[in-house]
Amino acid sequence: MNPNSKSVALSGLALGLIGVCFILLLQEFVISKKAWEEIPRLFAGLAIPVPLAIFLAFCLAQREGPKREDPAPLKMVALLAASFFGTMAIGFIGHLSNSDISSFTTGPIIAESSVFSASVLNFLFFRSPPIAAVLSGASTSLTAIVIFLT
Amino acid sequence: MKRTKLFKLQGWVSILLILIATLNFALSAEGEAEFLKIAIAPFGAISLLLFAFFVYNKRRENLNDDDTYGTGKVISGIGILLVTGLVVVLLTTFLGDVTNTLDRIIFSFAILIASVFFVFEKLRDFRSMALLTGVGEGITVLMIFFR
Repeated sequence: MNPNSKSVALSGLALGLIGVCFILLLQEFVISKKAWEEIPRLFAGLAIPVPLAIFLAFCLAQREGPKREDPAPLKMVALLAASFFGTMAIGFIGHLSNSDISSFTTGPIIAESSVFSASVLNFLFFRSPPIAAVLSGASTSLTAIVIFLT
Repeated sequence: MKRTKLFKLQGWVSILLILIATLNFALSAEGEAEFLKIAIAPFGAISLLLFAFFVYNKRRENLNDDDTYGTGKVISGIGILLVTGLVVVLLTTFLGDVTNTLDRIIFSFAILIASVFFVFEKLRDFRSMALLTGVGEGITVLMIFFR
């Protein structure tokens, strides 16, 4: 296994995990809250990073090919843990401050879909393991916040 | 990734988002409106669109895959994006009466859809890509935070 295909496998795995977290978040929202009036807002929260992601892909259209970088497991795990606890701290502050953006309707869904589209961009253009580690840590932490804090 | 395909995708995504925003605003509209007014509301946008297509009948297309966009150009594009999103949000929130009743909602959003469709159909370059992105972002921010 050369490092190129290894980084491809790592990015794909991170993408799959983030997708699974995303689907679970949606199911949690729709089934447990039964908030059918909130569906357009939910859709808007899902769609908010999509035009920006398409614009960035438009700007980066020329750049292609993954970086040939050795994944270095210990550094990756450190990055993932740092991202996990950082997102957890931000979410806890938002939960304590009790503002509108930290409510269950908007905040975590916007963050989760931003993480998802950033992960898609990473998979298409960069394929760098550190970005994938940071993004999957943030996604896991967001799911934990939704399950435990709200 | 072809730039032409991405531009087309962005245009349809923006139009779809404006349609969803119209649906959202129309479902939560308060005032009553006559049926005749609702039926006549989108025709202002249609006549404007026909006039614009009559005047500008050539497509300007400048989307080469070989160009590389530098940092300054990307930052200027993001500036256009922010200004457009801000204009959309300000026009539809602080003008107040624009989104009271159903016919006014249909009129204003039809004009927005018509201008977006004109830009999408006739002017295809980097700046109009930034403008379409700004409209999409602005309309989603409007839908989440201001209604």
